[in-house]
Amino acid sequence: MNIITNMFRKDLILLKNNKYILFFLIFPLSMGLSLFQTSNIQQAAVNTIMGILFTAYVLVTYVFGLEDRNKFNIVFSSFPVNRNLIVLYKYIFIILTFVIGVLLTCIIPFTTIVFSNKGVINTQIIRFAFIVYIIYFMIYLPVYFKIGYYKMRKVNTPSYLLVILMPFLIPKLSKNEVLNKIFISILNSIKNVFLNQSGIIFLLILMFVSFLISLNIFSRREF
Amino acid sequence: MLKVNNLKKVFKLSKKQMALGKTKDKYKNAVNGIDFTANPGQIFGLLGPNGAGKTTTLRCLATLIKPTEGEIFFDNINALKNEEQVRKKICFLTNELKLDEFFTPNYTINYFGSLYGLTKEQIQKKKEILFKRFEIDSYQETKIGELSTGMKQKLSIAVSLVHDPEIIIFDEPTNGLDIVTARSVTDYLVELKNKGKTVIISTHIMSVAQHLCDEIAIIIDGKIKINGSLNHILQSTGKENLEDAFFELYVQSKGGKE
Repeated sequence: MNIITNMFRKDLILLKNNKYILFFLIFPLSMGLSLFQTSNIQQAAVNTIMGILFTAYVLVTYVFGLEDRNKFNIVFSSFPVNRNLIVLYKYIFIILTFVIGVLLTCIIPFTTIVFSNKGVINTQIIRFAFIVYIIYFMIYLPVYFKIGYYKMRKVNTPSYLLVILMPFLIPKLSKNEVLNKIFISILNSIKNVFLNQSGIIFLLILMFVSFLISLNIFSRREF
Repeated sequence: MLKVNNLKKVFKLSKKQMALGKTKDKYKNAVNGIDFTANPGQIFGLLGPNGAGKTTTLRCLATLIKPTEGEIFFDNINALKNEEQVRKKICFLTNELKLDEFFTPNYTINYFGSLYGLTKEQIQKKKEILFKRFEIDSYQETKIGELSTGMKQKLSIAVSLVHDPEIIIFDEPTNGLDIVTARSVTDYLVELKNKGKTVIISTHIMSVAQHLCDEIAIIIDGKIKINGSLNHILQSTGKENLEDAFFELYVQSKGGKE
């Protein structure tokens, strides 16, 4: 546990020293500010998802990128640290960055709801953001452990943006109403499946399988 | 004591690597059956040209890569079966590694010390000794990004020695360093040797091998061509200096062509 805490403290120092950290803070806060101002539920949903997912993604990729540049996994692997612990920490870090994203995005509307009963925080939307985030990173992490951050970076951001923006972009880009209705109904049914208990079980299984694959890959990785 | 028996490492080449190496072979024997022993109180040097297999050998020793064949023993502990136990006894340093620019030397030592499971008191005690030895005292709270290359290298060495390892493995310890820092590093290696540590280095610099190493293994194309003291190498090759001896063996191994 001490090692996990130390790893997280190290990552916080890396983030604290990032010269773009102000932007990372301003973006989710401004998304949060819009939640306080808007009464439009759909707009609030878009802003919540964008605020949380953008922040979490940027924090993860910044730390992963820096570690890869400094060949940190080589350092760790030459230390008497169990490699399974390194893998476990990355999964914990993914969850923690999501929590940071939620806190930064929701701090303003939460405060305004408490003090003036104004603003919107939709927990279903946060859960939906979590599902999207977890599915993406449970696929991402085994590949990261296999080939490292730098070999992935060309496909990282476009694929992530696609995942985040697809639900909003497709209905806007497509002028065919029938197609739009089909897409929205697919999206809704996916959302309904994931927001109930069977969806949670699916997510847990996905996390477990992803974790096992990552363990297997990283224990055999050579530096 | 370190004992290496019949160490082999075969890498599968990617298409890009095959094209770069102008070869049609899908596999490369980076290390091809090497044996050697390094004793406490000794500096053992692997001397060879680029691509000879020095770094691969050291990475096998540091348990970063698994050999295809062979055995490695650290004080009779099988390194391939007890990786974590071995990592507590060794340190591995290579120029490829970079310390995070945002950290201070103070934090870096604390952090890596904690990874070795040292207590705060143990870390503090070791930190005082190492910072004094490498003249890092006055830069303790300076961000690493603001330190000179030499100071960064000294800090890397301090970090790798925080747990007082018995076996020190340095890949090209003086590579890229200015003459003063290089001297400081080699002096420290001699100090470690005199304290009874086993020091293993790789180098392609003849003078480093000649002046620093008690035993030298000349490695070419993944094979040790000769292994022993400087005198033994000079006598066996009939040459007057290490450079001539090296080129004699190099030309022989390339079938008489340079």
